[in-house]
Amino acid sequence: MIDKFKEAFKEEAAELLGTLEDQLLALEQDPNNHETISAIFRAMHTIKGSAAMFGFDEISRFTHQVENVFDMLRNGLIPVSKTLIDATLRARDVINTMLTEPDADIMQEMILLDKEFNSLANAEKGSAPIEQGPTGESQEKDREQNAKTEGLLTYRIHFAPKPELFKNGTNPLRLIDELYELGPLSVIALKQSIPLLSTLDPESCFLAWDLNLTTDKGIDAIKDVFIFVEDLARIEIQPIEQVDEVKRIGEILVDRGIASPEVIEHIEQDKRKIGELLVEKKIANPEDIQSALVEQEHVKQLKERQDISSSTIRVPSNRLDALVDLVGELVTLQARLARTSASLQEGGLTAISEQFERLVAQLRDTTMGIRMLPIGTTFNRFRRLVRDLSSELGKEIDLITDGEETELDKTVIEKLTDPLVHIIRNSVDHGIEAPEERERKGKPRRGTISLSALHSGAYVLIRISDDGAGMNRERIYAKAVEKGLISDTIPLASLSDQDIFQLVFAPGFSTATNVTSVSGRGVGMDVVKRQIDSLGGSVLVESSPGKGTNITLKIPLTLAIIDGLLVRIGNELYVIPLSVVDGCVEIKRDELQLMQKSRSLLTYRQRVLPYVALRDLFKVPGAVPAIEQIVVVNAMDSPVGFVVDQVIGDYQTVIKPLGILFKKNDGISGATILGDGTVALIVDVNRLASLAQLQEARKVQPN
Amino acid sequence: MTKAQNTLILEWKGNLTIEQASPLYKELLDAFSETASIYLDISKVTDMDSSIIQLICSAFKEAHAQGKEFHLTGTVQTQLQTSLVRYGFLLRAESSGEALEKQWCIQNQGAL
Repeated sequence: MIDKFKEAFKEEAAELLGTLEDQLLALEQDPNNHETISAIFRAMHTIKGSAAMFGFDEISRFTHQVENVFDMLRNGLIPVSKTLIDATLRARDVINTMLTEPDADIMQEMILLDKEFNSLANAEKGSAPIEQGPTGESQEKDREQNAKTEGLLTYRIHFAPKPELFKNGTNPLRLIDELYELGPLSVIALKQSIPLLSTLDPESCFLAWDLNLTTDKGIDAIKDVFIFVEDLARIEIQPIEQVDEVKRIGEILVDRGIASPEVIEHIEQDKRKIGELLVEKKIANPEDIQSALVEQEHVKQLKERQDISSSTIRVPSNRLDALVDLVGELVTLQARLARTSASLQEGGLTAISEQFERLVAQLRDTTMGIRMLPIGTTFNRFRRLVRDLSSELGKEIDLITDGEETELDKTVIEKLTDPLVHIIRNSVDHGIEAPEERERKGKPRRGTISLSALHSGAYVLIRISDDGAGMNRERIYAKAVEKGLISDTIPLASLSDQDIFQLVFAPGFSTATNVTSVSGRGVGMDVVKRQIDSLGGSVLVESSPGKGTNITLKIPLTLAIIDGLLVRIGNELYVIPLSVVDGCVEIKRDELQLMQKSRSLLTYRQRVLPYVALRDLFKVPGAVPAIEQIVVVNAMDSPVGFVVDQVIGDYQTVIKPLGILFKKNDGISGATILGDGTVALIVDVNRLASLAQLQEARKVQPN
Repeated sequence: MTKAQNTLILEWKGNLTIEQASPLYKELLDAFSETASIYLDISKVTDMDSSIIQLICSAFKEAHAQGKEFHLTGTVQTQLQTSLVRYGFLLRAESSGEALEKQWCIQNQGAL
């Protein structure tokens, strides 16, 4: 039983450590962000507490030190420094190692870090800070107790200082700082009472603020903030009642007594934006509207945060896999039902079958949705990678990410990590130049690597671009010739950029003259290519010398269920993934044969395309029909035609892997079971396309 | 302070607080009496407190009332951007004086 809890703790801690890393890196970017500091403190505090509870005393003791330092940081006793962030990142790693490999030898690193945190903590106070344990603890408990009774509430605060406030020596901004300490705060300054310059007394205060604060510390804590300015300002604090819905602007304005409900009702009949109308009719002024908007946003964000914390559930992924399997079976069964009902021609059954089909389709999409994860978590891992690598290599590099919310199947994301690591390592090591070299070239000292993801049909495009040196055609060519990857009878000029860049993906290729610990051992890019191929994706490289390199990975959204096009050759059925199908054309066999004498090419929408007869390729027996059909597919971004006997139609395909016995079958990526129980093979379009190209090459150059 | 064809460019520097409010106020008043077009370069301002922000807002109103030109110019330092957002003077960070002015004027539409 205890073990089960320990597992749960490890899982929770691993998650906390993950976010901790992101937050530390964020803090490095924005050292004054109090929220981040508090979040780090809370993460450390949670890890410490649960570690002690489950008997990980060493972790608890170690984390306590880090927590201490962040507590001081939170109270402004010590500043954020690079040493601190470095040490905390290392401490994070140590805690992680302690969790995952309890037997690892990390004593030395721990002692080093212990010393470092001690000196960080002593930097300000001068005396031993660690002994504050018991009192600090009990205070914390008090606070927690309070929080429980008061609960989390949102307050609307109107703070209108009297003109004398400045002369009194009070800086209103410091009061706002104090409010930030209490919880999430939205602020809007009201500037409408400021007089004209000619009538202004520069040392009087004419500003006012509307604030929305969400806190569990209670209304007294807010009043305490304003205690010294009670006589110098008008302060109104009122709790916003908890509502499940985000309020409309009109309601907020009524709450605030700016407009009456009748006015709002009257105005809402007009379909224009209420804010504009109220201003136009001089019922409210623009700042009232702004302020109401800010409040709306504050509540909305708060609600989102609560939604996230309250409505997620942790499920082991194997249960999800089982669910997906079952849905797959259901999809197959549904296809069978549809077939049976079609042959029976019975009205009642057809209606049921159609409704069932709709439900199954929805069920399929929802189930797939469960397995979808935003790619952002993977992206965030690379921040650390780039940071560590660049400091190791003495380079200055920023990582920009975009499209973190793009969702991909969990299994796909897992398989993507390795290729992305390789590509980013390459960019850091070979792409981005050293700062001095960049300055010489007139580029900014800091290099940039950007990582973005976006949906494009049934695919996700992941682009990794850097503003580094770019790829050198000549060097890649020379290296490829040297390694025997390409014959030197083919002149460089005859090769397109694409051809040259594809050479990089050949096994054993590496142009970097110096092998570093980071990359350059000649493994890497071929691994990238292999992994992406295995996901059914493709890699595209664009590069211009001196400007940088773009690598685009095209990855299918999911691996388990696809929409396919069912085709027949002889008595055999095949499925072509519908996402790559461009169109179908009919063709007479004698016309084809005529063409085959020279090269297998057909004209399709004013373009000349190569084609392959699947009948020949898969050696299907039987007579060739007089009229055949060609399915045009986009394989690796270049169209190819597949000759089949008949196109049957689209078909929801549950992919079943083929056994080891069939591993060697070229051009087949899996199988599926049709409604009537027969098996259809799923063709591997990319593989077939390259086979077609090979065939072409042989025809052009007969040995 | 530089002058070019009836346009006055003022340049403020450093961390501006209430102590500088009076001298800067006088500088602005003089500028308004001297010319009809004033640019205030804030690129060297590291931070400002509420009294200085109030001063700039007041100048916008004055320009509007008199039908004169008063504009902000220069890049806004990161520290200043952060404080302006933190204390509710901006809804989102702006990196140039021009964009900052635009946001302020949109907020003030009709209230000027």
